[in-house]
Amino acid sequence: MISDKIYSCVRDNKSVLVYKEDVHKFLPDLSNRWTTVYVQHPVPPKQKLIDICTRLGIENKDRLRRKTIEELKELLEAKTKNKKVVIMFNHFEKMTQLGAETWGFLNSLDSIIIVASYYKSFKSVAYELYRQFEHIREETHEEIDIKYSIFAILSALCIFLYMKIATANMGLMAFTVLATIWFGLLIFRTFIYIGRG
Amino acid sequence: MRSYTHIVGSILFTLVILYILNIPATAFYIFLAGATAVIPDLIDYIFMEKHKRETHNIWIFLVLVGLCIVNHVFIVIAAAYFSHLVLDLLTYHGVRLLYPVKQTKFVCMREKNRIKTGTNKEKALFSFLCILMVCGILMSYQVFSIIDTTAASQTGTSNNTNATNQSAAKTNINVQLQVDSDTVNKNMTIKTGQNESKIEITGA
Repeated sequence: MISDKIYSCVRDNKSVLVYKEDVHKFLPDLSNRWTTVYVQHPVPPKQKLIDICTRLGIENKDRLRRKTIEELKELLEAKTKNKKVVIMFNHFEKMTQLGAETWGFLNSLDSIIIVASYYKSFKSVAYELYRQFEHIREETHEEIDIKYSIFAILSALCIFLYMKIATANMGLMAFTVLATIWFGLLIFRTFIYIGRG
Repeated sequence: MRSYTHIVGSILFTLVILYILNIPATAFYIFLAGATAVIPDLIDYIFMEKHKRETHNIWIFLVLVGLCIVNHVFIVIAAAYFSHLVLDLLTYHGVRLLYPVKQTKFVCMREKNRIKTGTNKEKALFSFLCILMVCGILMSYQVFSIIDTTAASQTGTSNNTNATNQSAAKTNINVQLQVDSDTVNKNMTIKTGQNESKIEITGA
């Protein structure tokens, strides 16, 4: 079960990244045990830091707005000492450069554990942060790309077919047609390549 | 994929397999290929709650391949089933090829390149397969050869004897004979089916 895996990771102080799951449904389980904050998205980072601070009751929202991201980070670090706070969000794929830096800082704190989810591929700037998480992926969500195997099988079939037609005495016309189609597509592909811009 | 794409794809794929294996593509085989193409989806819709492609797995395909030894009919069924798997692999959702052993989805290409069912991309694929299928059917019924023979007879490259039997396929036979200079005449007989041709070779 995914919820059990998440629970054990949080217990071991490991941040978790889940594939194609809404982490909000794990909120009741985790909030029974630890202080848990759910922010829908990871961006914009300043707004999210303000949300976290407000929900933890650190300071008034208006006063927090006047602070910079660095000040908010320091505040959060100071106020969550000797605590264990679980922060949850979905759509890790929306992560930006600034977001990755901010969440990376939060993840480096011993007091904060992040539970996040992603649905599709994300920007390369988030890769460093991605590597810091434990990954949980259900078997049903696992995908294996077998395009090369399929292309190889189909190509082999085409080679056999072409050889058979080309070597058949009765297939002179078919051979010509096939060669013409091939040549035509080659020219068409070249034009597509030229006019790709 | 929609059923019409599966039907066209499986007929085309079956024609290719039959041609490679030297099995004549009869109307029954073409019909069987088309029918087999939709059966996995039909079973899915009848017995499962929704189309989860649980009948699309490699185990059924392996059984069908094994049965190919028994009868040619299973070659057609296996080819049609394989084409169904390949076409579904091109879709957005992919296929659980190892189901029920593993739930892992097998896909072909990246997400943005995959074909969503019912979209223009699928219709384009259907049209392309349709053209190839028509060409395949014409070829399997030797329509190209007939056109070839007719064209040859019209341009006068074939002699008058071909005009009496235009529907027959043109056959070229190269025979190399070593003829001694002292040999005056030599007779050679060529038998093709029920026809018999006699050739007289005259020495120089």
